[in-house]
Amino acid sequence: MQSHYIYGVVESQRHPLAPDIRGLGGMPVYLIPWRTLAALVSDAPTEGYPADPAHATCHAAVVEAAMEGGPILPVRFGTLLGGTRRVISMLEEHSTAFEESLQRLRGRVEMGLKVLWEAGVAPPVEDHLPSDLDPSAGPGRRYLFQRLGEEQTSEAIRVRGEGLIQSIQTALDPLTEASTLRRFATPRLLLDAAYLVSRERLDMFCQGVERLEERGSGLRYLLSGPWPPYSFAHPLPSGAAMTLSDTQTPRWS
Amino acid sequence: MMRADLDHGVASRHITLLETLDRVLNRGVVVAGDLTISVADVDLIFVGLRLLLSSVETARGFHLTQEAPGGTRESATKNRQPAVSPSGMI
Repeated sequence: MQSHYIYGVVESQRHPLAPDIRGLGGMPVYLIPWRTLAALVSDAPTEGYPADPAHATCHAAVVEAAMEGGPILPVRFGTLLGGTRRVISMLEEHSTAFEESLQRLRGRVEMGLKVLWEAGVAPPVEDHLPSDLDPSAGPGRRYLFQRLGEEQTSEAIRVRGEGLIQSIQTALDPLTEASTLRRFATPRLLLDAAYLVSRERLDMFCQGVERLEERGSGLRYLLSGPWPPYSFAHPLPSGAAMTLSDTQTPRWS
Repeated sequence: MMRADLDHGVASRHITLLETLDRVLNRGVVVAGDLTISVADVDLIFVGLRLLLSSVETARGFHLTQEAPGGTRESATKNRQPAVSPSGMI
């Protein structure tokens, strides 16, 4: 029984993949269809492949090539299914969710945005002491003032950061269909976001980011894409809210 | 979709690779496979991205987005590479 490595779920009626596209292990990539859906797969050894940058990059290249010919739900790296029957039953089991997702993602791309800020880095601790502190204050008192200063500084930083994030979202929300955000991922990484953007509005979205750049505000914008919609591919159970990590706040229009 | 090859050195290529790895390893539909190749290094990939950003942020030539008059700015719109400053450093 042949093991299949799976890259994504696509529509069975779609433009064929370019014949020179090679998957992991140099294997040809092809479709295993079931009704309107198909799994994008390549034949693989039962034990799969090592998880390393070369294999991950190859996987990404297959998904990107597939996006040229129609919508794709990117599957996470590293999934093997044993036998054609298993692949088909997987498609059948999730067919409703897959079809809804493919419709939702048709003609959309993902853009990545990382926003860096110097102001997120708190000043050295010596700066937290109030300037009018009695020079004869003992070490305990100095320590308490220092801690209070740190708390107030980090709170002020957070408040300012939240305000900046809000203004970014206000600017970009009208240009996007969905977003996932990671706030304050590092002291310098104010925002780590992915946006779902329709191809027709992609230029407008990029111009929107340029306008944000022109505002300055001490922020640095790292825009990447277009990507296949890795961050938006998970099917939403109908009527259910999305489950999130506590750092991510997707918004669905 | 063009994958523009901006001549901005190793730093921007590293960030692109890490962005790719972050998506392929951390995101996408999770399918219950007969075998799932466990990626013990997934968290390290994201940590690596943070570390890379730190090294990039502190590199010489890091510019804030307010450009001096007469300076040019490149924006990575519709390109695979992230935006870079005119000095070529990210």
